[in-house]
Amino acid sequence: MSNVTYLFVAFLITWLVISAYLWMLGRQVQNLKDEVESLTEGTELNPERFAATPLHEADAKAAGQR
Amino acid sequence: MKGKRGDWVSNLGLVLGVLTGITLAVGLYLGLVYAPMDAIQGNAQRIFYIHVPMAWVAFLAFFVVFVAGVMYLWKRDLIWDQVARSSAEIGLVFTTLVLITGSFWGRPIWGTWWTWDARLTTTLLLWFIFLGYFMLRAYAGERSRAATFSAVIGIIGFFDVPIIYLSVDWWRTLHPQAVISVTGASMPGQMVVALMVCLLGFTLLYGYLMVQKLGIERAKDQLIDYQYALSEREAEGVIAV
Amino acid sequence: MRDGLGKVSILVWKDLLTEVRTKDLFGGMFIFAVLTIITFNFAFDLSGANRAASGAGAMWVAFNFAGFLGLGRSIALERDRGSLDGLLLCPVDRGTIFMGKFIGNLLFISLVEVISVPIFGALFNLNVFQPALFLVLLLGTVGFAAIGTLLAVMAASTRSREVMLPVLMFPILLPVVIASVRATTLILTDQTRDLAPWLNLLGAYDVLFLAISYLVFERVVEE
Repeated sequence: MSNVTYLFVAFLITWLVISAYLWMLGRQVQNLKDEVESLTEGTELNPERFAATPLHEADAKAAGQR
Repeated sequence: MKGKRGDWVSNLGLVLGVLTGITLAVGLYLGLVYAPMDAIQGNAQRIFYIHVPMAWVAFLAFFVVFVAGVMYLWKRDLIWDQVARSSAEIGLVFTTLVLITGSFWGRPIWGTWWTWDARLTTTLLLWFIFLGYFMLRAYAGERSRAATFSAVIGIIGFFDVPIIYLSVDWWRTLHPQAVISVTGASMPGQMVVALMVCLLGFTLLYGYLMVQKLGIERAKDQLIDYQYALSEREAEGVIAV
Repeated sequence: MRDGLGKVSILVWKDLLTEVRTKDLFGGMFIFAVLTIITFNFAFDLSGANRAASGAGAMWVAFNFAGFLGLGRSIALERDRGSLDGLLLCPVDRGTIFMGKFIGNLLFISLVEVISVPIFGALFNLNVFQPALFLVLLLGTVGFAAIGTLLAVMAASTRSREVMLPVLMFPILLPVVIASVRATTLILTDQTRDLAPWLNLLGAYDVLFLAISYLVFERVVEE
């Protein structure tokens, strides 16, 4: 292996690992978003569903949906 | 996360990300093309331009783990644990890369993938301390215990690393042995410039990764709090989940 | 200060008394240490001039392993019996509890060493009865016990405690191992001129990590 090959492989590994790590972070963000969505579904914490609904009405609604 | 604070953070992330990309691109050009080739080591020496900055980042990350650990033990605020574990993860990644790139640099230059000199050995031990940090967190059970225990490891490790370096260095020099040293001769100006830019680039990369990772860890803790609150409400019969 | 000293000695005495009554720890540690040394004799060539260097290494590895065993088991026993919780209920300063545990561990490991070292000297035909060697043994063991006491309490609260303790301790303890082995080798080969830096390193390590462990212990047992 010539000197340049070592250089090339070292750079390649470095950027592969960093890219993989960045990708993993992106995945974690997505997983978290999904989990927040599934948790707050059907509760007053979910802003899309219950933006203006007071708490007890929201709970009754949620109970009624089951 | 929504809200003014969230916007500020994601803007910071974006700015850092762009800055990082530019600086790294420039730095790598400088290192691979602009800087002169080393007379003795040939082109393999250019690994130096990523190896040294990443080593710097690894130790910077470790320092942050130490400070965050002290702050957590003092203030008991989870934000410090979030900072610590984010920095520790990034530090572990970079320490791994330092070891790998160091090997690929050492093989053509020294003829060996590894040597037990003070710098390499200390980096290897640092890697194991990071690993111990995460193992302890994984097995410690509940959140505050994991935070406290890993803060302790971060503090002990930080004081220990210089002592490790010293002891390995003395072990090699006070004992007759073939000493292999990395080029310590003064570097031509172009090499210094390339190194400095790469150093800046990788430091910005650390900052960018920290912003991202810290956001994730904060969200994780908030999620645990939500889940707890929801299960409490459920237990009280307020909501049915 | 006198009161603190009194409390520490009570704690140490309690541990010693427990051990004398149950003999849980000492026997196992001692046999383990001697067997490790014997195994090393077959692992390395210990007939030639390298005897002192390899022997010193073997000895310290044996003591470290026996130390891990002792630390792990002593903390596990305390937890199983609930005596650690009982201790924490007493109106005793946490730092005092740490000192008590530390000195107790120090004594146990030292006892194993005191009996193992002459055996080691006999098996490897090395002159071990030198005061400098006892100093090195003391300094090395203090460092081991200081960090070990703290980390053992932490590891005991985790799921895989037998593995966790050595995994945490090995990297942290490396300077002690290096310095102790080097210093021991120098003593056994009559090169005591170069001893000073290693003794200084051990001393500095001991002071630093004893202080850190003492300060941090309170936080650790809160969990």
